[in-house]
Amino acid sequence: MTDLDSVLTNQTQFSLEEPYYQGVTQPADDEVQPPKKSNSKKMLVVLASILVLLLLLLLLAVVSRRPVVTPNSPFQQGTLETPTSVQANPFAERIKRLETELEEADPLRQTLLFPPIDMDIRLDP
Amino acid sequence: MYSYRINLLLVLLVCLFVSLPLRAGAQSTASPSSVPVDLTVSSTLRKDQATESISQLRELYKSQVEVYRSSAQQYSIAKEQYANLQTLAALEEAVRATREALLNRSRLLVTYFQLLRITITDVPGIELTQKQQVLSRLDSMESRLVQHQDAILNTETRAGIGDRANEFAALEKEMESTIYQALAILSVGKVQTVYDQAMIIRQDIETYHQTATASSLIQAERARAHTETKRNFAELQTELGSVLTRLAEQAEKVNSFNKSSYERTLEDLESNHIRLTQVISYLSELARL
Repeated sequence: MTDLDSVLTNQTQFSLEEPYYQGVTQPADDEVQPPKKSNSKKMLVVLASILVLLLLLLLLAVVSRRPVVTPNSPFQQGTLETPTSVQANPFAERIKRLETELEEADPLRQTLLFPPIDMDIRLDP
Repeated sequence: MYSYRINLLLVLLVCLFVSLPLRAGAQSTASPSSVPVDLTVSSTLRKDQATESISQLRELYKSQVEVYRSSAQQYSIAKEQYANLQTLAALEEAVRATREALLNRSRLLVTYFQLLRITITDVPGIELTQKQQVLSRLDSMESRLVQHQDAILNTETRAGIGDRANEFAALEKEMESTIYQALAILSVGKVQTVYDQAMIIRQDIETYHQTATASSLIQAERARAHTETKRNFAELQTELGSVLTRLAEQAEKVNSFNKSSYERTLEDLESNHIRLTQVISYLSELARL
């Protein structure tokens, strides 16, 4: 039993909804089905196309926003570190590096000592 | 099926049009930063190359020290054996071992001079005139040692070995003076490099404080701190200057650098180094004000 048949068996509802059914012709099933099918197929294709388009756009956006410089580039390191360190203490990092260099410059920490050689190598005195 | 193809074609066309400006935009945003990236990378590369060369020479020097020690030991044994046995075979072995020890010693020294040269070149804090003078002396000594090395390679006889030993003895005083002068200049240069960098940071902090807004109380505190820090910087520069002047005066005399003069320089520098530590801790405090 179709929806229309169930509606038609309910006389009270039918009398209330009678104006809506006036002048409405029931098309034959074999005439209506093919266009409905093609419409839904079209809609599916369009929706799929839009989805693919959106996905592609998203992918392109991600790829194009990826930074050009390599992660180990000193330039990028500088630009990444600057905002946070500037807010905290703009000179802290530089002073820290300087302290390391100061340790290396300690005169008591000589790395190039005089060569450990015998200056007097000779067979005959 | 026909509409599906049309839609697919449309999607591809839209993607193509959208991707073109995006890629162009990515290129245009990358281009302004390409110059500083290249400059930073090139300067870092130069620094890395120097560091790489220094570490390679250090490794070579270490291995040559080991080879030299072994050959010096062989020389001592062979010389003693010849003194005891007095045979032709013992003499042959003693000549061979002495030649080998002389050769390995000169090889080690050539590498040591190259290492000193590249290390001094890499330290920016060395005063240019003194740097040029030391580098010139190092080059001269290195080339004379290479000549000495070539002469040893062409020597096979006992008398020849004696001549090579005499040649080296003639170089000894100048070589020792050159090495100690280079080591002294290097030590001063390292401290001076840190001082110069500290001075730049102090100036940057001062500029930063001048532009940053703060209460009058903090501004007064900063001004007092800057005055004290500047005074310490000036005094430290005077002390470093006096060490440099003494080294320059010493360099004018022939072969005046030796172990004791070098140790005196290190003692002077040690007090400067302690003061520099104090100055840098001032900078750390200044930056927090």
